[in-house]
Amino acid sequence: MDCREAQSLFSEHIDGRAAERKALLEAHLKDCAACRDGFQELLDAHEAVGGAYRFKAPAGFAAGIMGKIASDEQTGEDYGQGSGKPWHQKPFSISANLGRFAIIMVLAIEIISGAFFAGKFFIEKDISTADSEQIFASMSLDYLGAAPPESIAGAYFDEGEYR
Amino acid sequence: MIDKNIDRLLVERFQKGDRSAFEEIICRHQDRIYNICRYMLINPSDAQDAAQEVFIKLYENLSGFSPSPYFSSWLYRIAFNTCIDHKRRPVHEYLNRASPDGDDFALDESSAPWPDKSLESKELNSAIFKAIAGLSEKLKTVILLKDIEGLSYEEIAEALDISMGTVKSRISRAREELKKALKDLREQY
Ligand SMILES: [Zn+2]
Repeated sequence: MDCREAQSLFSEHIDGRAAERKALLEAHLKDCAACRDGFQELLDAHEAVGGAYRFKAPAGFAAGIMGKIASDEQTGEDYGQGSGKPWHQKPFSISANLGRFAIIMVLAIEIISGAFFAGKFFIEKDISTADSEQIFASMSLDYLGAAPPESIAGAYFDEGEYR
Repeated sequence: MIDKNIDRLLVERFQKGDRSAFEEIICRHQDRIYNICRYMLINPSDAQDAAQEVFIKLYENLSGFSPSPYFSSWLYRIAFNTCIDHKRRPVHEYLNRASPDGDDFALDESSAPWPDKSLESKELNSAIFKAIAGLSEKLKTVILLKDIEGLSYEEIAEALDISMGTVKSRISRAREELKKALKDLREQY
């Protein structure tokens, strides 16, 4: 077995799947220091990855979904075909709300500076709640260059999230 | 590991009209699904939205699910599809646009509950998260299922609808990339 073949088996060997080539691989590792080092590095990385965080669902997650299903069924939501529920109907839609808030802010700034569609957009669209997703989707991402602070990405890392 | 027999019984109960079985299904799988969404989408609120959507989709489709030992593989498949859809939404790109210094990957230190609270350990844990989360979608999906969730090659092939050969080669490539990422990182410190 040459180095190339040995290396192609490393990952399977970690999972105990090198099968009939296992003995040959082990013989090669015994004789070849370079492959031995390479395999050890792969094994170290594998162990590190195995110890990675397992995040936990937030508290009240299941109850929240059951509540949503119950209220949707009461209001006649049609379950059974597709999933395309509008965002504003979802509980916990914090990201959507932040996005909506941020986009309204960006739009407001653009309007004030007179640079955005000369206000035409606002005549045709009602920025209440339901249309904001559409407005958002219709906009170039270039308008969104002013990314929100990391506080959004880092929002609620709480103790309960780790398992 | 996931006890498949319990899933089968819960699905049967649900299909006979017992709604409480669905809540039990959520409770059994919510952490695994949330974790997948978290690694796929990085941002906690996106992960929560997506995980919720996964179970709503499950609810919509579960009555038509025929008994199979692959219930959890099927659920993982819904999760990956949901996350990939989620990523395509402009809102997601906006919220998750990585800051130049990569702070979006940083784990909040004030509430860090890792067992060993040394700075080194926190940095390592954060680096591992970053390395996994930074893989391409194809490689990330297999490595999450194999090395985080502990699925077999067969279960991964079923969940992602890819061949065993593809599972094998993607796991191998993912591990090589992680090895490189973690090595680069070690050299920084
Ligand atoms: Zn060699």
